[in-house]
Amino acid sequence: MIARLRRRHLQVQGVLAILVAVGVILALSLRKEIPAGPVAAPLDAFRPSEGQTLWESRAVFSELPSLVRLLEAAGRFSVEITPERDPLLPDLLLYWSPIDRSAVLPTGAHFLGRLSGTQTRRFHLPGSPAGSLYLFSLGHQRMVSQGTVGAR
Amino acid sequence: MSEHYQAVQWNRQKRRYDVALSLGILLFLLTSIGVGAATHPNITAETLILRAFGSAAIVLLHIILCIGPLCRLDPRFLPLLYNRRHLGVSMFLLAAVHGLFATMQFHLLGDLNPFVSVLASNPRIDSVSQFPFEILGWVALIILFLMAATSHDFWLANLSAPVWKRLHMSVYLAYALLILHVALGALQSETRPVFTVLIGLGAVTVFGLHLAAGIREVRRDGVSQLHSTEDWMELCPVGDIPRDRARIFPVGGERVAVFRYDGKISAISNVCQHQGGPLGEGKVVGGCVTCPWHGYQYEPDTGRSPAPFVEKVPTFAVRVVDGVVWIDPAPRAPGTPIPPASVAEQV
Repeated sequence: MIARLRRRHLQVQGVLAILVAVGVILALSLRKEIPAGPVAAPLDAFRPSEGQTLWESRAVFSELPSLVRLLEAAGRFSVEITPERDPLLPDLLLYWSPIDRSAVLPTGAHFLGRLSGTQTRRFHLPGSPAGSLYLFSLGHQRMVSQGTVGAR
Repeated sequence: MSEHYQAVQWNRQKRRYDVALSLGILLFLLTSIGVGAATHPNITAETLILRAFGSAAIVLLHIILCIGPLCRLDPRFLPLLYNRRHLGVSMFLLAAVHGLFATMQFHLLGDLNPFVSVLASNPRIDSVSQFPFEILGWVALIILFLMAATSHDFWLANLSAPVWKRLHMSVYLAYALLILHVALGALQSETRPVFTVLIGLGAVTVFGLHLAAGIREVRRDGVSQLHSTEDWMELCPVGDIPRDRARIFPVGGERVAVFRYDGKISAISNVCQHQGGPLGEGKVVGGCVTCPWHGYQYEPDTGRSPAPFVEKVPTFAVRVVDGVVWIDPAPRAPGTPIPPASVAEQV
């Protein structure tokens, strides 16, 4: 019994060795290159010609340290946000609302856009700069952070 | 061996073996998680656990699969074989954690049952680079589960040794599936050559050792320079058999262990009834042939385990003529007493 079993064992090993070698070689030779391109350069942090800095702070978002600037150009207000670390959230949305520091996203909050990594992003405000910014994760449906613009 | 049923027959060796095993696994997991966290600061805890347990399982599987052929090539590795089934069960548990974490992390948040999602979410079986490699891992995990669940001697006794042995030989299929699982999964995105080299070296080592041990055995079984006279076959001079040990000869297509002990020569089948261990590589201890794998014992002249045990192996008639051992190649029924040949003059 054992001699036959050992011969079978040897045959199985030989067949499996060939199949595994072919499989691994195929898997490695046909693997696709992962597309990799240069990362888009972040926007310039601030260009004086595009507006006047009215206010800036690094303490607006306690959960995501960022440099937040309030800018004015030709009578229009905008905020410029530069996260100091990657928020590691692919779906981080930025809202503005005149309601000050609500625990939940206020009804009627104005959608400004989304943040991505540590890139500097600039968003136009709908009117008066008096209000709060809200970072909201769409996927997790939760408030990530919030802060008041212009607060000292 | 035990007359009474015990779930696990713990002894000092098994405890030391398991302590070393547990510490080794713990050290591997902590090192893997520590290095992963240090080199990838943004990695999630789930991914760290998934990678650490998957790596530990595949490394342990390589060690397990190398033990068998190493023991056949060099008996000094036999202590590793003694408690190999605990290695196997531990490896299955590591692989199960990896599989469950992977399923939870990648399939739990969808509309489908996560286990259905594993099978249905990726239909690209026609693609190599996008092959649903998770399925290979799950099939291997099911095989490993069946092996872990039937690893106890209860199943060995109830399934019978040949069926149990065949079932447990499916570990080689599981191993092949897991290598492909890694090659079609992790190695598709992990392009650093070190991982490819490691998995390649592992596979070459495992298959190389098994093929080397197997080829050596087949050569030993096949190359027979025995002379035959009528119904008897000439084996070797008495002096070629070490005292209280045996030499193994291929006789009639099977292996026979010829023992020399107490000035006598006896021959029994080389196959232990427990797990097919090579009795001829064991010693005569307390008048009984002792299997080198798990210590099962047989009386050399009857092929029976000492009372109250009931295992039996086939016996063979032997005689000594002019200092040379001869054997009748016809096996007697398991447990048939045969008077040993006397070699008192050579002792």
